[in-house]
Amino acid sequence: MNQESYLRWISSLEKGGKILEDSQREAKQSLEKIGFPKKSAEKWRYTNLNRLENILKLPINTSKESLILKINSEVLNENYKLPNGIEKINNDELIAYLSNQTILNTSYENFLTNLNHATNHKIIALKIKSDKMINLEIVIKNLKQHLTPSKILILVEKNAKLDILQIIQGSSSSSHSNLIEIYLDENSKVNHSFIAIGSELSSLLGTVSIKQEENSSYSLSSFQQGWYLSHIDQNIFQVKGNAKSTIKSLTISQKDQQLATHSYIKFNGPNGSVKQVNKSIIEDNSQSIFNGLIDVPKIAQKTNASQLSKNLLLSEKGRVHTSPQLKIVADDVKCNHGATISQLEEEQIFYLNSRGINRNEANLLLIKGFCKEIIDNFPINSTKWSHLSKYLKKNK
Amino acid sequence: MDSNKLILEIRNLYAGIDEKNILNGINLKINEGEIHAIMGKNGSGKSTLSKIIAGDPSYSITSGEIFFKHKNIKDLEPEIRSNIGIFLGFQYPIEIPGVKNIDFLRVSVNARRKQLKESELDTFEFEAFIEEQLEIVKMDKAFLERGVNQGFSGGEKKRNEILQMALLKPDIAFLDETDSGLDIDALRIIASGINKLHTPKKSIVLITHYQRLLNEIEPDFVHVMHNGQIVRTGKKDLAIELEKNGYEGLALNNTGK
Repeated sequence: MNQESYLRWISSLEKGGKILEDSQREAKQSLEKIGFPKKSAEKWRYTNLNRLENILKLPINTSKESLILKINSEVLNENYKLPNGIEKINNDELIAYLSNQTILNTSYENFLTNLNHATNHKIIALKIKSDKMINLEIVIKNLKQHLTPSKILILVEKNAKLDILQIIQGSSSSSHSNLIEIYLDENSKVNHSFIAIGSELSSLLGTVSIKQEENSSYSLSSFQQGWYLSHIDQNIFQVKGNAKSTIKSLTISQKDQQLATHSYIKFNGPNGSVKQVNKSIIEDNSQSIFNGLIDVPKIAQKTNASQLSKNLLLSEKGRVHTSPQLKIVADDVKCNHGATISQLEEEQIFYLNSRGINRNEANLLLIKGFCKEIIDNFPINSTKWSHLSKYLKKNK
Repeated sequence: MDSNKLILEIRNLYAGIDEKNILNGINLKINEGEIHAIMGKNGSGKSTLSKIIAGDPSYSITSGEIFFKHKNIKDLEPEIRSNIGIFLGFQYPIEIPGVKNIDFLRVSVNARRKQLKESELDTFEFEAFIEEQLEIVKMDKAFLERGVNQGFSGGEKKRNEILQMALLKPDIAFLDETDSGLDIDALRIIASGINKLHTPKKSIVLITHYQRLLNEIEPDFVHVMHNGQIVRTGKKDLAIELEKNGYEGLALNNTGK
């Protein structure tokens, strides 16, 4: 995209409501500074930038209908009274928060975050106070031929607990810019399930930004399939270390889709841990991209980190780009990382065949087996979305 | 055997892998209910023979025929051979992480039941069914919940093989070195399991290096393989002779080359 039309696009963006006005103005300035992504940046190296450009050509969806919120399985509307332990963040607080919105204090290039803030008209902002587990379900729908921006901000207070299931749906040439920020205060616990399923020419630009205080525990189970173009950032920042993070992701790419996951995990103190597994299944002539960086500075002694990228390549024309990286300055840490790319093993297939299981069924069993580790993590209520993807069906 | 009903017949079988000949004219007839033992040195072609009968696609047959119940099975897919009643107990059972053992066993059993025109078992029915069979190999139920052979010891893998034989009720089972890597207690458990599964209708072929398995399971015939041929056939005393004098003592020579 040339600079001129990019700048024209930025200035054409409509103003959001008065709460979002300031953050939007700042984001527009940042977007101008950052410029449209270029291949020369490692993060965008393999991205089909034409597809990214096409997203910016779509009109912005400003309707509020695209966000459905359920708390403990009840649909929330304007008049609904929130149950104990969960509150809306009031406007003043929200403005204060948004003016200081660098949830991740990093120099990580944040085109996606700024794009979200610049286009956004909708924000869900909640505070979780209860130490009883609260179940939150957020469904983000698409509008055809539109870019739908959405932002979710959740502050989880000390000792509070939250289960959150986030569903993002896409269909014919619709796009999403989604940003979810979760702040975990001391001793809090969050299980986050992120399920993003597109179809046809739909695209997804998503960011999951997590900030963890000491003794908090955050677990992300992520699933994505069916996007013409997807680019998901998973960022975790352990403010003082001493917290626990888990990320398990599964990506299924088919046809000529291009699905990407970029993760950045930073320990800003000692005794933190992260366990990350990123799995991909690549079919047809699709592409799967994984870029992971774990940042362990000097202050983060006794960090325990593992990062694994496992890829199952099911076709000759599929492509995998995977780069799990560790940046370690601290000297007393346990860190490991690795990547594998494999096909279905003939030996395993013959073993199953010799037990009367035909080739198709054997392939299915092996593929399900590959996914199991990730799918098992999803809560039971995720299975109601399994009509969107057979991979979400639990083995029984 | 009174009935002498032929179940498997191998006629002049030549086969190999990647242009390399391994079997050089195997002839073998097995009747219903018989127990055969095939012995021979490493590389004599014992395992290859069993894999070819199970239909391993990495091997190719250059000439010869394999009849199972008078039907030529040479070109059948391995899953069809299993469904019609041929079983191979693997020397090195394959690990399949992520696929739960019990799910795998159920899919496998239902494929066989379909062939036998029996109703398929749902998860509850299958659990009840498998519980009885576990007793045959004294296997802990916990192994059903793990990935197929995942992290199993050598002995546990072999038990899992015999459990599959118990579940699938094949008409003929080739057991490839089921005794290797077992301590004497495990060997007795597995041997007693195999004996329990042996009926006047079911045939078993034991492929082994050692006579000790044959002390537990009495064979009707013992064959010695050498350079891809069966060079001697006898009764149990042939195994005893082998144990005493070794393969060298048999003064093996290839007759068919």
